[in-house]
Amino acid sequence: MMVVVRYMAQLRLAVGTGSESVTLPEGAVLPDLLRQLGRAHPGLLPRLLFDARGELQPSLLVFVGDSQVSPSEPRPLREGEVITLLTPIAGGGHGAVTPAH
Amino acid sequence: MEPLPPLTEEERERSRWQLSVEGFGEEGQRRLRGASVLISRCGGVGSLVAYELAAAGIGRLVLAHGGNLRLNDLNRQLLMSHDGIGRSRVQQAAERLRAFNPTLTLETIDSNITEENVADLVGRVDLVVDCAPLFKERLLMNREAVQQRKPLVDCAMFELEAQLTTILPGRTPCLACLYPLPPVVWQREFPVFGAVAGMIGCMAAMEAIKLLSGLGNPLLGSLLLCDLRIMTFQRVTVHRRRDCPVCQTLWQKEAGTSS
Repeated sequence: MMVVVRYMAQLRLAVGTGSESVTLPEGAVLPDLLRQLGRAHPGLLPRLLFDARGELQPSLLVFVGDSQVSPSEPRPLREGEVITLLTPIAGGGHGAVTPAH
Repeated sequence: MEPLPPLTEEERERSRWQLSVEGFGEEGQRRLRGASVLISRCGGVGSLVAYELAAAGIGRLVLAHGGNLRLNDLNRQLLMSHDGIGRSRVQQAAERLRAFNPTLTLETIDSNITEENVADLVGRVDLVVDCAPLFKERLLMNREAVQQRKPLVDCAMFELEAQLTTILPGRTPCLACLYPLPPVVWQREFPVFGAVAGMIGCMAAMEAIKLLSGLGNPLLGSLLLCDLRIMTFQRVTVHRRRDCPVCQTLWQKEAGTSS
């Protein structure tokens, strides 16, 4: 089964592309996809998707098509679906590089 | 509810090109004339929000932005000028807006949003547009807007991307429903073009105009995702978190009221 993953903002920079096609086993659910992406893109992406305990980051937004879904929802994915991943972005500003918290 | 202010002949002529917009008309213009908006930060995004609201004939703007202009602000902060480097950003913004529309009432606060000033500033206006670059400020503004049940237009940008949503406390998810915590990694100095900031600022101004005048359909319960790198605009639905620490009590009150 093939799905399309769209990466927005910092996720796009972490992966190096705005979208990619991903092959998954039949019956795969959303958490399976996110774990597979973390393995496929070591470096910054796993930090943006998962916390130190391996739990999904609470501010990760996931959309299947045009609808928001919970990242931990064991919703079976379907052939050709477009999954958009998003982390928060802010407004205008200036100044030095600072950690978010 | 206060009666809508009448328009002077000058105001009617100034707004002539928008008075004929279907569903707007003189009543919509009078609603704008009688309305007030707080803009948190008038930098890359907020400059354009303020500029467009001044052009549209908003009655009163409250601008909150601390600090002085730097050279590297000038790729996007369009209310400023090169000669103003080192001078207060908010004062320069006010000068430009007054020159552009002298009928506009302006209040300037030479500070960003803080725990100390947020309740007072939100209390002064009918609607808030948040353009702040720090998540702490944005979540603080969200908390206060929910507390005071004021509409909040929230806009953001990053590189060639931008996002916009409109929050009506008790009717839509709030910002903390979307983002209960800041992202793990966030660089305050992030990549962006001024044109991206300006585009989302203009869209945010349009959301404010629609909400205040009763025109069209605002982005309620939706998030607009703009990717100018590939020129896609996607409107996605967003959901409230039932355990949201900021707005769940409001929903419980609403449920109690309706039952």
